[in-house]
Amino acid sequence: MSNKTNHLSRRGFLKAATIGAGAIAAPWVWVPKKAFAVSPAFGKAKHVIVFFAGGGMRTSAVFNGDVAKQYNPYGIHNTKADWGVSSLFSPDPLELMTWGPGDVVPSFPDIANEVAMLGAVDHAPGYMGGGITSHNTTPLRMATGYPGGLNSFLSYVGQWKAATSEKYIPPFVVGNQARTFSMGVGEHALYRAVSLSGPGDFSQLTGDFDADDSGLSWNSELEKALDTSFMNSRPYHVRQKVKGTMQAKDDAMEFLETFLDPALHLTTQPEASLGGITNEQLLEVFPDDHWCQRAAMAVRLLQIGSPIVAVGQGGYDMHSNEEMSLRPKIESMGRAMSGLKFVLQRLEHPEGGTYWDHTMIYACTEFGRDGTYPDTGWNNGGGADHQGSPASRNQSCPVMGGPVTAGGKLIAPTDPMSYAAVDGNAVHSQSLLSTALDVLGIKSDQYLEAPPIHELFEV
Amino acid sequence: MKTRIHFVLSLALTLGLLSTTGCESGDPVGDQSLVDGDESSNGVLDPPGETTGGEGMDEPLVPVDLCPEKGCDSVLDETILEQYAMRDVLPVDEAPERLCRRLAVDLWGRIPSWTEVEKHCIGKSPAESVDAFMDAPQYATYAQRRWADEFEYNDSIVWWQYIEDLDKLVGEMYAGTLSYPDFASRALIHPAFISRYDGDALVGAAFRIFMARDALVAERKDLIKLWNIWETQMGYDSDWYLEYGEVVVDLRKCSGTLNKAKCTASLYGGAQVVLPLVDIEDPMSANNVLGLDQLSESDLAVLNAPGELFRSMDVFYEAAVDRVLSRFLGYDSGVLFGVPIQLVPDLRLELIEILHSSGGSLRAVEREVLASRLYIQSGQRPDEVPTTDDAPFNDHEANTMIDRAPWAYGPTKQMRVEAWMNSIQNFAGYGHTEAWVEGYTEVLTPAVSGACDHRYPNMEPGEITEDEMIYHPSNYPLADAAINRPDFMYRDFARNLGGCPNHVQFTRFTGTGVILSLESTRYVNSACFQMSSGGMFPMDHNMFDVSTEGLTQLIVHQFRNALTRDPSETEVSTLMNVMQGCLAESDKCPPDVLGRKVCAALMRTTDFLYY
Repeated sequence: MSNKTNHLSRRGFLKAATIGAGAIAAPWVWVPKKAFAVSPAFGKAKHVIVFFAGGGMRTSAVFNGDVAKQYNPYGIHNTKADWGVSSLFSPDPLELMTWGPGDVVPSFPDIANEVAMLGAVDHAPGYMGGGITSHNTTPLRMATGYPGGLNSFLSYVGQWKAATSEKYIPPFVVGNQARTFSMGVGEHALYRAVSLSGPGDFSQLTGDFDADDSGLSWNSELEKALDTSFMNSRPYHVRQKVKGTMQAKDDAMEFLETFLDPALHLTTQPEASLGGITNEQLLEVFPDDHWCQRAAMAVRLLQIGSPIVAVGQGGYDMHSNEEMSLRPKIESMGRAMSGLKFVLQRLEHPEGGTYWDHTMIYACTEFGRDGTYPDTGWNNGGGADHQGSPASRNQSCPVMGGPVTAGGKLIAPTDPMSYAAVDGNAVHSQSLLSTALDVLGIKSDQYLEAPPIHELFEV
Repeated sequence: MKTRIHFVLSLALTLGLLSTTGCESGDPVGDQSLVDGDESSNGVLDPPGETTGGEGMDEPLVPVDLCPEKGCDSVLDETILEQYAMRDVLPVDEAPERLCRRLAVDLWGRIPSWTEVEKHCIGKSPAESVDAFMDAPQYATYAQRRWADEFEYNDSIVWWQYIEDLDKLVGEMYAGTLSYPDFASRALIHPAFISRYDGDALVGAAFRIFMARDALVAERKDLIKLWNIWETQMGYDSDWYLEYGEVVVDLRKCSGTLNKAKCTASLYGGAQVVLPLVDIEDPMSANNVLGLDQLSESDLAVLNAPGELFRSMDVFYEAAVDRVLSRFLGYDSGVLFGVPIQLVPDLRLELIEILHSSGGSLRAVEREVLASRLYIQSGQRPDEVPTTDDAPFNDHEANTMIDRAPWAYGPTKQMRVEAWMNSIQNFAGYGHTEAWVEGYTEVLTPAVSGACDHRYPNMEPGEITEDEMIYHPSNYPLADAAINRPDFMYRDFARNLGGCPNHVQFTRFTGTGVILSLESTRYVNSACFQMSSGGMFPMDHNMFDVSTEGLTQLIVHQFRNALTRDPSETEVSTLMNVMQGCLAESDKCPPDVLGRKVCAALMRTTDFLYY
């Protein structure tokens, strides 16, 4: 991308941020509740997986496709779901060789009836100006809830997890495109998500953490003796800080053992197994390296105890050539989502039931896309833009998993001809974050202003 | 008071200490005692004004006229020692090598080598050491990095040449050629500042930087009028193929009665920033938009209103000295001697007086703080001082104990990320760069270390053609010199740990935690076990020499260059045992990696992280 565009858009982003902040502050636009009721699914999940598509996915052509051609030129599959499942998803199930006889991973259209769809998710519902479609602020909104947010909601989850569990395993981000989900400052910096660039990162840890392949106990012994001596030689206010540092190092050593588990070396240790599933089997369900392998890593991270994983992918800013480029990415996403259902339903959770029972999964992006012609469904370049009209201000987000009871339903529907939220009832994008916190058992109103989405759990 | 036996020096001991140690440098830490080791003492501090030397004594046990005897190097010391005397606390000088470390990290942004310790600190008075560090060019360079955080440099928002210019002004201020008030005046209307913030956020930033607080809503709404005449328009940097926000003065925005009101602030005495139109015939003409090079001295005098207003307020100077205190002392310097600093006005006023009498030299203020007892005293708690760990943090009685009085000890702070990484590089001789990792060591000399240029955290390239990019000059090590492409490995690593911020997506933080610990372990291991790194071994050291003498030489070298101190006898003996035990397992511990193992262990210690 040209730097010119970047530079301009960043200046624009500041202005957009100001508008966004104004929108939130303006009472006639959206009156945030100071405190709100928890959802019926409060505390029912132990894990959350977030898919984040960087660049602004054209979700009207993917997840909410029963609309005018202008918004979805690809058509839809015939399914039992209330929402339009785009033809971009492959209808073919995936036959498996390394699993049980006859095991197949269903296609995404096959499981659509178990996926609830949020038709209109808007960063500033009710705001009378244009929609917010800045590449600079919207990833922050999806990760922090605010255009200038500093703490990803994953850091809140991390803090909660650290306070409530015996063994703390942090949140994770898999894929640099979701890097904003690992943000955290001040005390939240300590609970930031561990950021992995991809599924191969753990394979490199051996070299990094245990550089001479001799184990760390030798170093730790000396290190601890020096730390203790240093701590004891200092006054109270320094001792407290040093003690915290020493505790963090101890915790890190605990993690290290976990991180060196061969099962996390997804791409290099095919025979390594966790929960009865080998890496080879996992990669058969998640075959490609776009969304799938990252989703497979998310499974492993849940298995080691992480409460939440954000999976990122990019390349969705398709101002041109969308027809050729979008399909393989969406096929991968569909495969990843149906693969998650397949695998999580086969993994026993240590606290009873399966991982599927205890996991909520949703997908989101920066914003939707517009600027397309009614007759073709694309712009002049065969792509779509983001100019703030309803099709770009409203993104559509699928939500699924054990706690979700509104499978197949379309919540906050859009007008098929304009893609505007019907009766103006769009879901605030911040509500996605609130919902994730809520299902994990964290009161979201201590961090965020938009309530959890009750409709996902009230059917 | 009878049941509250005080943990103080007796007058005799005080005088004894003074006569034997005074403020001589070179005193080994630990041999001195901050307070009396009376077995019946409980470490409680005396409230100011109360004397504790014994029944009926009116004189403080620590005499207030210590300066002549201790040879005070800072004009603050008289006030400081008076405060100590009121509480019967005697400050003890830090060991010269540890003071050296403190000064190097605070002023140069990295630990010193042992050679530097010997050159600048051993056998020198604290004040001589302070002057040596302040006289080096690194002093201004590191100050520039600190101010980058204040101005929140982000080269995706602000043109890189604007930032470069503002950064130079910071350098001039620390070189002593630009006064702090003049710097503030220029910074407040500098294009790097103006184009960084939108709307009244500009006022908020101005207050945060120069008044140590955010602006109130009323202040934002009113004082933004002092900047309304400025405008940002599209510019193009044809040398480096970059579009940017060019800062101009748009005379039209403040012309006419109504517009003049928009450029007239009323708070704090009021000020008007209005310049006459150049093209009166056509008020809307583009001729009434002036580039920065078109501004005359008289124009600047008018435009300078924000600076004039700020420097007319006392808070402006108080904020400046508070920043210095906070930076170097580390603890909440708003509370000194157990009371808010405003209640110890002498100290603050003295610093402000120094600022004024030195012609606005921030350098002079820093020098006085650095040479003062608050800074140069030992950061160690003597064994005799009882700890208060069993009491909760809000226990009133415990909070009156000397263990909990930060000001009774020299500062101990956690290094910022860049200082920590630079220190490791300085010790291990390791440049954490793409070229190193990829094995292209011939591209970089060992002297070239990883770095991030605090001015340009983002470094976006200019586009010559669709396929051809070029980067503007910077202080990053280069991964591709043909197009100035920076090597970002150091920057990206630092960001994981809270350094090299761009103040939008990546913010500055300093802390500890599991993730930071893991990430820092990765960096330490990269540095210590990279075969091209060799600084952890003494010069001409035979890595296969595992004799007692050889190992001792290795241990002393590493302690001196990593922890800036000699190891104690106990430490040498412990380490020797551990090393020999490790050597016995020859498959896991070959002699040539032993030094690297010690390196990794020392780098990860809190003794290294804190200074």
